[in-house]
Amino acid sequence: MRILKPRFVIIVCLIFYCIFVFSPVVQALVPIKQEQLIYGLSAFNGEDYLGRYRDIFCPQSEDTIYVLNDHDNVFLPTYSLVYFWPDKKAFFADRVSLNEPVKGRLEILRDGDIIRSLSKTKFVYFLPEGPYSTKTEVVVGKKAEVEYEKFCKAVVEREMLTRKFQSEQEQYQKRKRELQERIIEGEDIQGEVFPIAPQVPPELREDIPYVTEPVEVYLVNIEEGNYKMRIRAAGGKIVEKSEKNLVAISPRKKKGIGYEIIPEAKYSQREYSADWSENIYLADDDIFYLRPYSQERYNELEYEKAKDPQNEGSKEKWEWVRIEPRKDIFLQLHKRRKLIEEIMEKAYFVKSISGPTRSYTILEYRESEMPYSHFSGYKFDLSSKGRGTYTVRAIDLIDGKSIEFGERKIILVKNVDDWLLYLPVFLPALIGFLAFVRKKRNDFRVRDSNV
Amino acid sequence: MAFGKVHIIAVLVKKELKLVFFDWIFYLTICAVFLISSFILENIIGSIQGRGIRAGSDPLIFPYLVAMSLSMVYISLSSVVSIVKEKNEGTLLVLFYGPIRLISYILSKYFKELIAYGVVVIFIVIYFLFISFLTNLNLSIEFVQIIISSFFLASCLIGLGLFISTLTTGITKAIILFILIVLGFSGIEILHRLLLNLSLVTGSTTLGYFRESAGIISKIMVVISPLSYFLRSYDAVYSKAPGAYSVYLCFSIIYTLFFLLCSRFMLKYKGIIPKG
Repeated sequence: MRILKPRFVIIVCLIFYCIFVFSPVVQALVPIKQEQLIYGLSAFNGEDYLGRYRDIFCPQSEDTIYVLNDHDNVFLPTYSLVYFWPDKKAFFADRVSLNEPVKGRLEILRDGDIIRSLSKTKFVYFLPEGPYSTKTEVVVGKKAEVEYEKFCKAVVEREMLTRKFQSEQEQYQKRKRELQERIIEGEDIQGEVFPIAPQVPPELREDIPYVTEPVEVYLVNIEEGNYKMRIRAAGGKIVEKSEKNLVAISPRKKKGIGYEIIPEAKYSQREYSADWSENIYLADDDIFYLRPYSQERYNELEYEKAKDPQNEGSKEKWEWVRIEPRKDIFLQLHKRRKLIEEIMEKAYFVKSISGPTRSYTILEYRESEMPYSHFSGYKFDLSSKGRGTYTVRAIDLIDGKSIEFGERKIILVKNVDDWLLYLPVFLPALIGFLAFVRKKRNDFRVRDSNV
Repeated sequence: MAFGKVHIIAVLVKKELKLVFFDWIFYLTICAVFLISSFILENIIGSIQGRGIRAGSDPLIFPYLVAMSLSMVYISLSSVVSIVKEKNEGTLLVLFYGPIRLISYILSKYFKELIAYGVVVIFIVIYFLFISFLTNLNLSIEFVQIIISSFFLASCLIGLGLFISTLTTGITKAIILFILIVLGFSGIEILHRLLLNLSLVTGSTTLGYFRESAGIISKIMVVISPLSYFLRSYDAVYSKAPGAYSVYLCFSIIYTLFFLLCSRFMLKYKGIIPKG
């Protein structure tokens, strides 16, 4: 076998290298980063601030920013390196390499007139139920700094309490082990003082409100309408590429109540009923829990853009947006327009039962017996009420009136053998056969008379 | 005079309906409608039983829509064939030697198909009442409203079918033309709805353009497609908008009248005997 010449091998390698490096596949893997003025956003989505969880921003490719009207929305314009990631079909910002805040005042214009000229203000996210709180508030100005200082102080105090509790726990364990060893050795420990297990201090049982580090941002809170916005630098010049359209959106007038449905047997498989025209169908699960929440209907395009300017939506579609749990109501259960039961909200504890199939038992929460409650809701037990169709109505706790669009039908579906569903097919088949026979008979009669 | 015309129409309708009700294809269509509806219902009930609980709109609506569209195919094709068949056989000419006027003839064809559809709907309602009794799935007020709007859709399709029947000379030609028109209407409507339901992830400008284009065509379809009237009235039922519902039903009446008049004009213009 002839040995390949080194020059030939080098040339082949070079060709392959060039093909590999300049191929579009390889080029696509290396994103091209471009310095851009981007608006970092944490717009309120009706329930929460999504900017708390991920980096949401408006790249240069988007010319309009949507926000919810009459809510505090956080704007933080920066110069960052932006790149397009084809897999996600979205722009991302490399804030590690460049994250320089844009200086100046944020001007909001309506019909060409400046209606607001905003300077930066300190802001923090305030999570009242701790870091996993479902509710997020925005605190601004001096209060933001005060809250942050309070939080830092509380963290230090908590740390000290934790350490103190840990050392008490260690001492208790040590003393317990010591006594156990003496018992094993056969020593008589009568008259010795038995240690008492230290209790978790009440301050440690509950989460303290969580506060993020203060950041300087523009806080935009405007009424419904179409605006223009831009940043004016200290020298009076408009910052290049800072101009955007700003649209403040509001929900459609029709509001209603949505329900989260938790079946007792399948606790983790929840259902949601947002539209009032929907029904709840039950096959086997006669026990279930409803969690009503207020909701608003938004235009899909506007709402999706308000969540993230890079989202898409349709101008022609509307979507229900979950706002917050309704605590100012109770539920009524009706059957054939007759009130059967009034159900109040209660807290529940969920116990999972291990076994070949995962199942749950939901118990009414008792503070003395259970560490915490998993959820609050309205329990419906239809097992003793017979099959049929029921109606759930949401009633206002204050005026006792039924809440508009808060009604749902509950239909208990009967178990049916499949073959029974096909039984009606025989009806037209039979009539068709009879019609066919009669027609044939008539035809014969006509033929006979002709003959 | 008017009574005389009505009497003529009634006699013609009676004669035509006799043929329909003694035709085994009519019953075969209903059997097929029931069979497919049962299959869909079996799946829906199975899914509720599998999950134990389900929140959603009336599960009887979807099988009804399928049943309705299947019966609509039969009725529309029957209307498409009706005039062109008589034209080709030459029986149409004989008919007009008597006291029958063009409009009476067209109206008799129209009412025959509409009554035939009504009978199919009666069968379907009996079927769904039986299913409702078996499963406890109620027939909602929305269901009744959709049945009413389906009559208006049938009316539009019969009108369009009769017009095509007067327009063409061969049965195959008439059927192909009608299918192409209806497929075009429904295709655009379905494509538009599909595009609206596609993922909201950004970056795909092509999808955006498609969506926009389908949206513009769909706006034109709102005026020219009977299917669009039906879908809009269906949306109006669920958004509890009786005004919009009535408007689309009125559109359907105008649409039907327009095509019935066009059919009369076409018969008069082209003659009742195929040329050549």
